[in-house]
Amino acid sequence: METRQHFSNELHIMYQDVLQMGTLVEEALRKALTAVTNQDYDLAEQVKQNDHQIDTLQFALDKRCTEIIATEQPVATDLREILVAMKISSDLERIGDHARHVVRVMDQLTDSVFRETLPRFAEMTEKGISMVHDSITSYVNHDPDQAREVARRDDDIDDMHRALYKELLAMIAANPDRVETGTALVFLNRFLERLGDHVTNMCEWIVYAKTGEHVELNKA
Amino acid sequence: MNSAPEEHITHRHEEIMANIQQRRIRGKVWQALFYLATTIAVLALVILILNIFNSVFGYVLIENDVEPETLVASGNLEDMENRELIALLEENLSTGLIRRFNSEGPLEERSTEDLARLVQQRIINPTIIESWSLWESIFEQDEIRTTRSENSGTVLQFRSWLTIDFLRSPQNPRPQLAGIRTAFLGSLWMILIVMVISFPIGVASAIYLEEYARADKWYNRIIEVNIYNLAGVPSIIFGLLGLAIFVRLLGGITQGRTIVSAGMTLSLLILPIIIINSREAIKAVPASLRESSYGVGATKWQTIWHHILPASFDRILTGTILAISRAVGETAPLVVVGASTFITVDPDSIFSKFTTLPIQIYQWSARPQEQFRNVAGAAIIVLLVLMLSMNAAAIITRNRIAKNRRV
Amino acid sequence: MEATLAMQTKNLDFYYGTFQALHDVSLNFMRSHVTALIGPSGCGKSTLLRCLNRMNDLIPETRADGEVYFNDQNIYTEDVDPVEVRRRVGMVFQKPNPFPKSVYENIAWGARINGFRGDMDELVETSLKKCALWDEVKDKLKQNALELSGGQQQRLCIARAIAVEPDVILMDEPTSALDPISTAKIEDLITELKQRYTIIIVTHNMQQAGRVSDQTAFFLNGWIIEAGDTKDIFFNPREERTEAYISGRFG
Repeated sequence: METRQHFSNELHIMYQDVLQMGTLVEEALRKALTAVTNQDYDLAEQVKQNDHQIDTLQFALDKRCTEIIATEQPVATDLREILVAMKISSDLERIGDHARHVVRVMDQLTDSVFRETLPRFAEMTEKGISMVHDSITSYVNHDPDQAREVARRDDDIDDMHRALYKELLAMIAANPDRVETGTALVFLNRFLERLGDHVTNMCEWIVYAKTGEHVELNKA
Repeated sequence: MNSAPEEHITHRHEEIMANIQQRRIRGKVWQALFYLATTIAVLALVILILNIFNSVFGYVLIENDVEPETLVASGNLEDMENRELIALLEENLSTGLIRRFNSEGPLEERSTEDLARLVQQRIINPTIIESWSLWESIFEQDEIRTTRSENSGTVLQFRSWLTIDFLRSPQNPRPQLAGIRTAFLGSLWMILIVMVISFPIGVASAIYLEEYARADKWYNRIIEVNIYNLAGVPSIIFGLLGLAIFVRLLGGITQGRTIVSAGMTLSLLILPIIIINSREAIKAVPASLRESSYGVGATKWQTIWHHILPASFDRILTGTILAISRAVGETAPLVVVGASTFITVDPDSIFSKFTTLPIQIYQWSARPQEQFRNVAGAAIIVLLVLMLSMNAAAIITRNRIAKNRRV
Repeated sequence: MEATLAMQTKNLDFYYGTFQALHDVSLNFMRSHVTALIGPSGCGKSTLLRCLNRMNDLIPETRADGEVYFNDQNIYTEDVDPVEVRRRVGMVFQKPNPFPKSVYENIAWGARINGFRGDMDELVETSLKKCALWDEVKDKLKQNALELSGGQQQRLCIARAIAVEPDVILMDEPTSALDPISTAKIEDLITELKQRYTIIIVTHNMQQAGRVSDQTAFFLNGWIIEAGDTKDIFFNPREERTEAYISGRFG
């Protein structure tokens, strides 16, 4: 019988919470993408509502982490893992917000002129979703190497972001009467690039949790 | 639906109560046994004391050579004038005797009391023909009166054999004049000598054994074993030892059968007890006290002198006083070492001949005259009072010291 | 600022009879630092502490192999008097054990037997002030020390230790018998005192080691497993066993 059974149980619940939050966020992003692709306004509405759920879970997770620190006095690895859980939860919450941003520009994405950019956006979103999934996995598996690998994928998103940005600018220039729509899409591009940065941030903390070292995985 | 748990609770309660009852009963049985034992002990003690008192108080039948009423109307000699008393003495006593009295202190300068006492002793010369115990005095008064009427010219007096005179007078072949003064002083000298010899040696030995001696050294173990064995050796063996060494071998120094020989013998007797007791007292000092002393950089001796001895002193003192009070009661070894059988002179130095209370009691009880039983009883009371005082002193001292030290 | 060594052990083995309680212990104790010795029961931390002032000499059939340096001098040599060592390296014990004398005498006695000739009243006052005890006992100096509360008694023992002006103070679980407030007061005291004295403390309480010490050494079965800055040990220990112990995963 391992000592500090209660502590172990509490940590286990914490990891479950993080997993669940990750799942909710992935789901939100996917639903957002589907809503946009299929022009499903009901689904879009769901995404907006579910964001509330993500926020609630974040508060609960933070509260649990604080309570564990207060009552169990964790040190070393345990302490780092708990602190990282709190950091990750705030990043995940921001990522959840990005799902809302996606559905917000739904109309613009179906616009005749900009419709062709949709597959690129979809790809970026998919990449983001898989990054979120794999980073959470690396956290609960205490695997810094996987975290590092996930962080590297941010480069792809950055590349896509850059290419899409140039394209969008060109499209706006060619269609000056669609500036509003175009700008919205530029914002979306930005949000999806930021998503990658957030996940990279998470990966930095996940490496820190395991090794105690702070690494820079974001390229400037 | 709720009855099952309730039943369970009630059942538990009954179980527990039954168990408690059982234990209480067992406790009560033991308690009764202890009370019984204590009662028996107290009873035995009471019987012993009553027995002693029985022989110390009672009626005596006195025959006087001369009735005091013939000398003075009131019957009280102290009503007479000094010169009358002196005249009486000079008339009736030999010149040699008068001279002796004068050398002890001129008759003219003596008090009325003193002169009256001399007249009483020498001229009136009361002889006790018959004495009765307290029990007899209370319950057999008819017999007593019969005996009195059979002997004319006698006086019936209720007397306590324990009087001031008894304490002040030395030995005397006549029971009514016999006193324990020499014996009492002998016992006091004994206590002094034994205390002076055995206390320092005993405590010092205990300190050595407990603090300095390494337990693994073979000679230390031999010493320890021997001390524990000696504590159980019968006291008469020590008497023989004392006879051989102090009286015979060292006779030149001790002058033979003197107080100092007896004192040294008794010291040896109680030395093992004092050592063992002191050791236990020192052992009982908690290690934390020693450590805290060493912790501030004290040496071994400083620790012993300033901390260990003060902390154990009350117990050491108690044990020593108890051991000495045991020595006070020792008879057999002193008989062997040579307490004098008949001595009337007070001991004036450690090289004096001596007797002690227990020896005196023993000798008086062996005398043929009945009245010496009464005298022996009185002496026993004095001895008991002495021992009780010593024990009380031990307890009071211990309580006082303990109160000041431990809180 | 360079920290110097107040005490040091080199390859110290220690035996109780045939049982080896310490194996090859080499440890540095920095001057004016607090070093904590932690580890499960029976790991040898108290044994090591008692080697540092040769208190183990009082236990029969013990043997020390190796060197213990105090101010660069090996104290386990023939010509070193343990009495002197114990004066320069003071000790505070787990259960408060003031002398059964007055508060004043508790402090004065140690100083006096060590040859103190100055103003005793002043020494007593200074020592008590350094231990934040003066205000509480200044009216009770003649009172028996055993009448003080547990926390006060322990602070008195610390005052008694510093009255003989040691260089190092050893503390063997000094607060394990005390309530949290007394514990906090003594921990504050330790932080105060380390400016003047080097302190080496054995503790069962992980959090106390974390709060109070600059360096920590973790013992297991008579071996040092890990030693270093407290912050490193509690943030990211190198050894798995250290981590397991300080996380309470075994005790």
